Amino acid sequence: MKILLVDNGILGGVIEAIIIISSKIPTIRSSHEDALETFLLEDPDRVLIFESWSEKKELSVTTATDIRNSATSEVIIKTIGFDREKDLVLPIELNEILQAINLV
Amino acid sequence: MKNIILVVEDKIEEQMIAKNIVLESGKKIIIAGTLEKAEEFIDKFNDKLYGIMTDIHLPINDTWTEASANGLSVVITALRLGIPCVVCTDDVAHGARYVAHILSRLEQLSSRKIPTATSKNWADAFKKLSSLLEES
Repeated sequence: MKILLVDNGILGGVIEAIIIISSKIPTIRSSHEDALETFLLEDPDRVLIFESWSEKKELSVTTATDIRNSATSEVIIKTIGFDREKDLVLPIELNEILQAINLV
Repeated sequence: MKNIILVVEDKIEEQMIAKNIVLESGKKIIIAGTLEKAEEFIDKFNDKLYGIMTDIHLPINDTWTEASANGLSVVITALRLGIPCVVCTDDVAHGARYVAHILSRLEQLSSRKIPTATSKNWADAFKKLSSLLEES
């Protein structure tokens, strides 16, 4: 199994560390801009797209649509949103993340 | 390795038909529902594109006019960049028979084939794209 995390920010880095430490599953990270190219190149089984409602909502929707259009039905694609203004630190529970990528 | 096929089509149900055909062949697919998205993808994936299958009639602001035969722009870009391209459309349906004449003229000017699969037959379009590549 291989996971693609779409978010080059601090949150993406934290989640990447959590996944690697807790599951040792190979994880690749990319920006929204490079997400489709990375997806096509790496053939991940799971894609987790982070979006900030306040800033990148539209970009995240586009990223998710582009990847869904290219993905086979076996690939699991999840989008997780958070509000940068309200959620100041790590906005997502670890369990929610792992559930989102079917790890628990 | 050139293993990505760009499908330019605005209708989701047609996109899914094309997608199944492409994925069954073992190729990868990217889908553009608008001319703008198609141009963005061609810019980005130009050197990885195996070929393009494009509709000709893409809506402008969700309306259909003869002027919306803007998929011709995709064909011209493909010819300019040397990317094999097949047209998958029903030009009569939208009252734009002139499209066939333009495609014919483009073939003459470029000395390249631009096969056409009518009535949204994506399987035929894919077959013609594969033949085009074998010939070249």
